[in-house]
Amino acid sequence: MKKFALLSALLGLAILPSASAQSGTPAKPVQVRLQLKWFPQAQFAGFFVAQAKGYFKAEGLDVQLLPIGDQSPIQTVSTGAADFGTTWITDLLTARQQGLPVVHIAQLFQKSGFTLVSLKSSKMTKPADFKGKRVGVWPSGNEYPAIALMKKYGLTTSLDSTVSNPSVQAVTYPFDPSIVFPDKVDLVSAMTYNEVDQIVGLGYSMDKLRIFKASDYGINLLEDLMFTSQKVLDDKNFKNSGLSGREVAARLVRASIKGWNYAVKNQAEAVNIVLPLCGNTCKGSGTRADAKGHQTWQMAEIAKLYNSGPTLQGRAGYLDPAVYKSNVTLLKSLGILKADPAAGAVDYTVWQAATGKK
Amino acid sequence: MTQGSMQIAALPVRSGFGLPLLLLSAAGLLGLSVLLAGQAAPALAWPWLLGVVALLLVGAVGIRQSAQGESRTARILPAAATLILAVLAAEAILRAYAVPTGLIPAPSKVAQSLWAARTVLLQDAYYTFVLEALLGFVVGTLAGLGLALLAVRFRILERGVLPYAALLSSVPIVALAPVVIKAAGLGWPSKTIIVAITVLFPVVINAVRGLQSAQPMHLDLMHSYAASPAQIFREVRWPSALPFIFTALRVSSTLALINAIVAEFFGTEGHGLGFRIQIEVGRFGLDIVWAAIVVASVIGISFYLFISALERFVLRRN
Amino acid sequence: MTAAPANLPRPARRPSNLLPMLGVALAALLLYWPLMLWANSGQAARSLASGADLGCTTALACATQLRNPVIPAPGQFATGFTSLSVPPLAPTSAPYNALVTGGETLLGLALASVLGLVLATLLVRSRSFERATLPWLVASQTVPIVALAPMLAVLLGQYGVQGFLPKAIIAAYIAFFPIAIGMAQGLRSPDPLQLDLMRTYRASPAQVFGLLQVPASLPYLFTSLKVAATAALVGSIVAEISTISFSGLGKMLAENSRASDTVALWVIMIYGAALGIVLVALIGGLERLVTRWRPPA
Repeated sequence: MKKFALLSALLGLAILPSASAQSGTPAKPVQVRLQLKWFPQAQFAGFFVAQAKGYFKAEGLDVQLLPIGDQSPIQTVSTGAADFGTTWITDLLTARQQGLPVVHIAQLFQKSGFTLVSLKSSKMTKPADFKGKRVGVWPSGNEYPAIALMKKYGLTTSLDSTVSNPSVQAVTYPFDPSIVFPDKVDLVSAMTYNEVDQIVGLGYSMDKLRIFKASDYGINLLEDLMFTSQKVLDDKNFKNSGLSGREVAARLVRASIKGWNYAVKNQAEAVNIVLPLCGNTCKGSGTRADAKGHQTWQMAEIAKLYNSGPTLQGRAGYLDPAVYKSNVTLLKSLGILKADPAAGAVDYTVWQAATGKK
Repeated sequence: MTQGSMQIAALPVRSGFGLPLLLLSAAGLLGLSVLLAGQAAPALAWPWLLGVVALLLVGAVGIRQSAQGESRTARILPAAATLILAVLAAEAILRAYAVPTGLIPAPSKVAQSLWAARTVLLQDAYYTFVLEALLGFVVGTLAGLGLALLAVRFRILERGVLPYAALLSSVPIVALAPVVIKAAGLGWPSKTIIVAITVLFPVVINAVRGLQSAQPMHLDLMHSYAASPAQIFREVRWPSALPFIFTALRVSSTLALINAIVAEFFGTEGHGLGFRIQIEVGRFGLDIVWAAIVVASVIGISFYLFISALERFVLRRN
Repeated sequence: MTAAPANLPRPARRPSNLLPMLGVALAALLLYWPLMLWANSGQAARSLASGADLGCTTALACATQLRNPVIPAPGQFATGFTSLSVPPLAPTSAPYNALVTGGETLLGLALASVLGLVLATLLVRSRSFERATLPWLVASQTVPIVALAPMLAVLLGQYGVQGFLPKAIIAAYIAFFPIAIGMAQGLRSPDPLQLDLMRTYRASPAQVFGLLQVPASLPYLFTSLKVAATAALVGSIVAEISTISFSGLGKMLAENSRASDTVALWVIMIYGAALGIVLVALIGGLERLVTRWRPPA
């Protein structure tokens, strides 16, 4: 056992300098648990592709992709129920603020896909019109973009435990727009890659909808990123594999980016890889219920979020410091963050080790 | 519980040792927390843990001592001391291990947040308790009693409906909630309906059982007095049913609030303790979550005690 | 809690309930159609009014083919039921997931029984323990434990407790209380006369406990187990919803309430109800098996 550990440690050291080279696999693959932000769907296509194409295995990793429902991936990662995770940046930074030592290691989506959708017939044309309306938001840390958008226009909601007389009525529901839209809320949260299509499936074609993209109003809070806990990063000998936590992180990021690059280039194949892993969550709604159709569409929308910013400059997975800074400034100005996050909240060295770039 | 207390009611009070020990333990634990407040996180946590455990042992002896006898203090002090010592110990341990608020908040932090968010939490409690749990409880109880009366009056109904009631009372409400909320909307009435449904079945079952529990001898006696059915009902059936009904009400009283909270997890219009808990869990605002739990518990206990007191009052009068 | 009422002598044998039950079922079936139309046409009318293209023109015509019906039409129901039930043991099938949840619940009940028995014994034997903890045991039932379930799961995860076990532990946490209280009541139930008799036989405290108190508490145990079974089922379903899970009714519930699939939710509800009924029936069966054997008193 000890010999194995030593051997793999040497192997690990050997491949460390040549980051992009074909890696020599450690004698036994390292067990890694990666917490997804949701149930399996094309939103995580890159990871599933990396899994199916053996990219993880080539890095000497045996990756288990964990689904989740209501909970935040932060909690499973910070307590060690998972080693790595994917979540949104606001989730990560607020967790960090509450004392949870989680660290950003790679930014996969470079653009926000969050929108609020209304019927054109409800005659709202700008966020200021939301006043006195009912807005459907998702709980579990997914409500921040909506809050940020509204706060920017001076609107308050009951989502804030210090506000007792809100100007917008927030309605929470379990993610499915059909539960509330359009009769119980005037605006509903929707991701460009999922719920928008579900709403279309409910019988409202695009020309009947007005879509407020958060990013169009300066709320470009970054979404799917990869993170881990400080403990994993500082681990000298990750799960007795002989590899350091940092090295495991770099390998995971490298294989994931490879998977993502493949997935956005070969979308049909990626969708075929995802589909068998789906439960019922891959289905769309109504006329667009067909899982394959919905996921194909989702993959195309996801690709738009991935192929943006640094990715276009060949720096996929890189967190643009300017965007990060503007995110922090926004969250601070909205009172969601009380202070600048600690410098350790983002770790660029993992991405650098993974890609060999600076 | 009362039969034991009658036996030794005459024993002298010997809680003399108890109180000083309890005070020592509490002061010690408080001292540890104060000492820990000065530093960020101690290099070694286990000596502190050892201190906490030692002080808790002292406290346990104190509780044992103070539980002797039948005085008022001997009944109340042990429970109160248990809570206080547990809270103080949790505070000290959480500080010693520097557990972040986002994971488990220290009791002092919860108390602060409880105070800071009191207006909103009370508003939430109004929705969850008054509109959802209490109203649902009342509606469910009345419907249950009505159904039970019908079932007793018309045997065919009892035989046709009661077996279903027994079956349905073992349905988990989490499976019910999404469907009811879909049908009745996200506002508080959907939660009231869910609470009413969960209260209904135990009440029906126990009320029918109670209404039929009248001793045949008493019924015969009433018949021989040529009492009218209404009289029989008032004098014999109803009084003998009351203990059964109250058993169901007591159990439902705690479940009503919990069920209202669970139902809120499946959709709200932005009010309620369940909503607050769900939203704040997602934001790692666990201090608010625990504050909401404290509010819910205090209301739940008060409601339970109220129903128990009502039970004693009504049963004594009958 | 509910222990005492169940113990009363049962009335003499009655005629079978089958016919009246069938009658009620028939009446419910007859009501279902108009109720379904009424519930769905409202939703259909609102959707049509807001300009939705539903593929049908009148609210009544749309009522049986809504994509997200309030109450599914018979045809939708049949399709949904079949697609979730066949083949029964596929990982996406409701029967398979019900089995998983049932297993977790039973394990949780077993854990809760052990814990409940220990607590009951302590409550009965030590007055100071009773005084110090009983109010908080009662209070613990007013705590929305389900709200704690995710946190509990996270804490357990920290110590490597994952998969099947956290669900069972949460189920046990919810279920132990009725068992503890019921058992405590049962252990106290032998009347003073019987206790005196044991004493005249010079029975040791252990013998009194094992030969008199424990057998006397069995009916109470089973009554409280039935209450606990439903509670435990709620616990394991909630735990599945709020922790990492790959199977179980709770996972299906979470998935489908997110996937716009109302029909599936109805099917899962029925499976959940059936599971609750089966669990209680199982305990009833166990009770008959155990109480048939009488201790040599």
